[in-house]
Amino acid sequence: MPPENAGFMVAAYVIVAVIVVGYAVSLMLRIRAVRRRTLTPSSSAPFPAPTAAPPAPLPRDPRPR
Amino acid sequence: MTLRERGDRIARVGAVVTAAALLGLVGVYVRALVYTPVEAAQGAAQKIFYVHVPSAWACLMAFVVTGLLSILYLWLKDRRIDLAAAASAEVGLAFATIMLTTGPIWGKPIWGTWWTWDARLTSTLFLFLLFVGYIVLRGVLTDPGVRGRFSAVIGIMALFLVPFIHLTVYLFRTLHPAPIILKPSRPSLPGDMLATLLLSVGVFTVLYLGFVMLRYALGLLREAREEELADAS
Amino acid sequence: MGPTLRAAWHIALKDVAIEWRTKTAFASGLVFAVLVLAVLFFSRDPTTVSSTDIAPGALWVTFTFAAMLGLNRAFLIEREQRALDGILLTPTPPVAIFWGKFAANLAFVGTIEAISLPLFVLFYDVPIWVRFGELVLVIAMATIAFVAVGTLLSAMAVRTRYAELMLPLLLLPFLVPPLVGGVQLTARLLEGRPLSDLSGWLKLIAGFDVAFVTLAALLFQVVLDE
Repeated sequence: MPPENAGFMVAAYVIVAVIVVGYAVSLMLRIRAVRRRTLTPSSSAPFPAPTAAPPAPLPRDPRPR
Repeated sequence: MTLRERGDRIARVGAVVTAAALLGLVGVYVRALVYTPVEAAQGAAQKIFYVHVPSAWACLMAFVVTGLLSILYLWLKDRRIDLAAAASAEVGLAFATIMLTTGPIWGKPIWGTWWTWDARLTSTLFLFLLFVGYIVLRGVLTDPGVRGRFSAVIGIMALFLVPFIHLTVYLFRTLHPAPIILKPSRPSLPGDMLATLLLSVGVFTVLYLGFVMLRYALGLLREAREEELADAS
Repeated sequence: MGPTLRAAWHIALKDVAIEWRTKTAFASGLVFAVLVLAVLFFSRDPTTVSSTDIAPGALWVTFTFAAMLGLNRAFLIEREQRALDGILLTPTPPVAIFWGKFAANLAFVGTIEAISLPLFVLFYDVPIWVRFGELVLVIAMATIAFVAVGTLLSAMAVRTRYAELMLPLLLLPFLVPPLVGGVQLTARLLEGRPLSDLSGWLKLIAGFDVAFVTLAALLFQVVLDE
């Protein structure tokens, strides 16, 4: 009779899904953020560019990456 | 092709590859949870194996790639190699996190303890810390040349360190075997289970590639932005 | 003496001379040693854990602190008044700077260890004379590992704004093999086991020393490049 430990299995599979999907989403969001801050919107972008006109040139970002 | 165009193109390809891998992951979940038999002695928790082991594999792959690219970068000095190494490191951190969270969740029901200080888990723990140090170091260095060179030094040192950590724990374990409360038998994997494991390893490999492409594209696009800002000012 | 060796020697002497004048890090090293040894002694249940059980760990934690202190200092003195740039303007080969720094750091960390060891014997009442020579050998081997990696990493850390945070963050994973080896060997030696029994750990630390001293010397040039 196998032991009753399915709860652990569920927890692990849920955590893996959360981390994998979470990381994928974080990548997409960061890519979108970079696009939004550039001056020349790219027409070949796979992610939707903001529809408003690009703002005035941004000051040089001093933060290290 | 400009930096921007290359970044966009790799982001597109990376998105497709990642999406494919995510679909594959759904397939792995279904196969592992529904269609693979439950192991009689260990119960359902044994199935954690099908996500824990492939994440360890992906983490190892990421780490070796970062190390090798670091060597290549110091030789060729191409900034794109540095960006690729950094991409692999961040993705490696994600997989290390998966490995370090599923490890204890697997360990508790199977081995009777949350953490076993075995060679693989311990090496991954320190690899996790090395990845964190690598990424933090990159965060505090602003000059791209210095950042590339210093990251490469850490990448190469880490490549040599991890086998030593593995050896340290192995030496400790052979001289001081840990008392184990539940000792699962280790028969060779029956066909069904092996197939599920191999499928999962394959999917995680594709997932690694997709993630690295996206992260690399992010690096290229950030460089492109820096250039555009520098030109404009 | 070749020019590289001569340059390294002079850099080592300079560092040691600077520290000798102020002795600040020696003082803090002493304070740390007493603190760590005392806290670890008092933090156990004396009825179940004998002092000889925790002694090796206590000793090596003290040595690790000593190494951190020494390494942090070594490059901070260069950062003051940009002294490192001065050295770089001379035709000193970078590898000479590494060996010079390495030797100075080794001397410095070794001195703090030499101060901590009698305190250790005093507080923990360990039979250190049983295998004193072998113990010194083990301490030397592990310290070489700490200092080689630490010299390289502190050269990197000092270029960031957060040197005091970056050095431990980067260095600690690299201390694991020599530290574990050091503790294990110290424990066995204090139990009276002969060195021939402990060849596994000795080979581990020796291999680590060879690999990482070589790597650190080779990669140091990369860190100094402008």
